[in-house]
Amino acid sequence: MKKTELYRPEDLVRLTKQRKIWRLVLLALTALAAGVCVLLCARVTTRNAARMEFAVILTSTLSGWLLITLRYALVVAARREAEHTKHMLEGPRETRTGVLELTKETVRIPGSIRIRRLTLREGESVRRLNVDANRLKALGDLPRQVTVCTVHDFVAALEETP
Amino acid sequence: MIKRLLSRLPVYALWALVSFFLWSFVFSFLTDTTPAKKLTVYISAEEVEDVELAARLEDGGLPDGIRMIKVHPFSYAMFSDSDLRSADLYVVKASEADGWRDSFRPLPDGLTGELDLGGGVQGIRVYDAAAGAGLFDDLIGYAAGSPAEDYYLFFGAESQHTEAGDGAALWLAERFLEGSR
Repeated sequence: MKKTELYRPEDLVRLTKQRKIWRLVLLALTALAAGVCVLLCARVTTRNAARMEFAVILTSTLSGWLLITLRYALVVAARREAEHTKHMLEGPRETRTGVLELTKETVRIPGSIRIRRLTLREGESVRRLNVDANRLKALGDLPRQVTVCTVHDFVAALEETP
Repeated sequence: MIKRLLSRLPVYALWALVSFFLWSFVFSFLTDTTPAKKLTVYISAEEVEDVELAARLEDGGLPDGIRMIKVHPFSYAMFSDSDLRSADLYVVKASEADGWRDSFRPLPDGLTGELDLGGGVQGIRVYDAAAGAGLFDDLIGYAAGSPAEDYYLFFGAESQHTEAGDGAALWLAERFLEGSR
């Protein structure tokens, strides 16, 4: 039976590398923004001083806002994803079988990733599970009968059940 | 997405404040310097295009050791009388000249003035109210006040650029008296 692992050690390596690259990119953009501001300062004359001051403050503020936004969207997102992946790779696994169904509920865990809620119907009982919203596609079409491996109620792997 | 952006509003607001104060601080160094490296003119007219006047006086170069010329209306020194009293040149209306007499010194050799305040202190007329014309009258609102008065140029008693030193105050006065447009 085909088993789909949602978390692999290579994912952690990739995410860590991605985070480093984004940090370098942001550092380069920060240096560029600072360089532009310094260049504008170097071109200050008596006539244009007031205009240049406005231009420098505007450039600095807008580029700062952009960099803050990018940092959250790229670097922090990669860090959170990496932390979650590590948590999943190191955590204790449990195996369950049932009909896995996706709900409409999406939740952002504070300081962590965005998740989708699932239900696993095991006979009469229903268990609430979660999946990383970025790994939803790996689950395939739902609902269907599967065997899931979970770590702290997160789907870590699933296998088709005959 | 909007909610996430809104939750970071304090960070964005903080950066805007930091950016504003940081570069304002930097510009205060770029656009000003110590009295030893600048020449200052205080003008008691109602309206003064101070930036353009300073730029015109700087056009063509500055004396060695001087980084900039600063032109201020008297109102600029509202909270700092010491700045006003240490100016290199003053342009003052006739009716106020006597009140500021203690801030003036005699004219350097070679210059003569039309307004004598006594004790060797003289002022050189730079605006003739009767003729309605004066030096840099496109930048200095000599006639904005009522009634129109003559304006006179005086040398500052506490200037750091006297003839005994680098003589830059005399250089500035000569540049001003050329009155180029």
